[in-house]
Amino acid sequence: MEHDLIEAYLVELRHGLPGRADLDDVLAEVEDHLRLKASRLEAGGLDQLEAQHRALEVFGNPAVVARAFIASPDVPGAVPTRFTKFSGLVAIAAGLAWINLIGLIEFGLVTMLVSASTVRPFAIGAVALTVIALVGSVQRAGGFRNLVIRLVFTGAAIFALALAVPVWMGDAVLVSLLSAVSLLTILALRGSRTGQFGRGRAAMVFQGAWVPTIALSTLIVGWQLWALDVLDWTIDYDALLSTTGGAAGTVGWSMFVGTFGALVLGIAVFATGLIRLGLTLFREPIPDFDGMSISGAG
Amino acid sequence: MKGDALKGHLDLLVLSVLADGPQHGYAVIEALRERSEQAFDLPEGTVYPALHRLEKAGLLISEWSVVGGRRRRTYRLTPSGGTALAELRTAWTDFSSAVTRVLRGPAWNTT
Repeated sequence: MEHDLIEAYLVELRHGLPGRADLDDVLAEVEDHLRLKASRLEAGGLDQLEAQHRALEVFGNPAVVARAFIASPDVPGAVPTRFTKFSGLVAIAAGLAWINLIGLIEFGLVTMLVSASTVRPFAIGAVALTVIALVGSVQRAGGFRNLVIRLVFTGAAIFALALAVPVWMGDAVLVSLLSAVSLLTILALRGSRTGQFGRGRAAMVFQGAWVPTIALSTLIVGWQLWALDVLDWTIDYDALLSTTGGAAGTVGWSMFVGTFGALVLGIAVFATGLIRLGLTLFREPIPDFDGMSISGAG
Repeated sequence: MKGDALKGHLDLLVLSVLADGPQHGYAVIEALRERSEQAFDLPEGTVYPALHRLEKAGLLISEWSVVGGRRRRTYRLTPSGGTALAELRTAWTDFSSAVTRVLRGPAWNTT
């Protein structure tokens, strides 16, 4: 057919249900209905285009139909709400806060004018926003449905509290916290078969790749220290970095490229994932099609 | 009758139609229209989420087949769906009887 209205309708409906796990089934079912309806209208005397137009008219506006499908999620309770929409904005803010943190870390490394204590308040802000955003994403995924999600979220909360006492835990907290919140996000989103989160999930999973990178760089640094016969578990790495001439020294170079480079890259990817997740959460319409159901059936 | 008027009742209607035997979505919608004598005027597309919801609730079960080169999904009632339908029918009958009595007015007006 030269101008297939049904095809165009399906494309529009697909856009209204991005990433939904059962999207192909939904579209196949809708297409079957529309083509069957159009063919019967054609048999009744309408031309092909008019029959399709009429079939689409009675089927409903794709935005309305999409909202009805969103209100009927794969996972009970996994529907957009005002809070998940708000948490989308918070996720965007969190992403920007992490990017700001990258700037501070980079600036601090280059100029040595920014200390860890200067960075920490910004890290705490980013963490707080991230936790709120993650609560929203967990809710959107259907809530704390299983023990693993609850345990990991508790772990993330503990790390967030630990960040408040940075003297005790130092920079390791930042790395640990990032790992914890990343894992939480992955678990929460992996459990959601409601779609909408495919891209955000992929970003978060990719984000996890920086953890082994840091582990590798730590091994490299350890090997370098061993080779220099200066291996000392109590060593002050910040001091070592500055006393060896920063990036000029072999050890300093390894630390910079390995640890801080990976950290900055990790945060950048993490921030991007948060912003994309936030945009998805924020853009989702809150379904108002909550009727037409019986209690206990939804 | 617009879709809003069907709020809370669509599941009962869908279950009732499927009590007659397995049907695909299009046939369910046609049956709804015919049995209501064209009274129910709701976007056809909004019936499918209801079918999916009922399936997730375990009241329906679906299976796919290929008809005319297209995939087609057919729904049928589960035993739980049959039980739910019986309960909903009773609830609806009680409710509609009560509404009818109220609309009819006090008994002394009719004597």
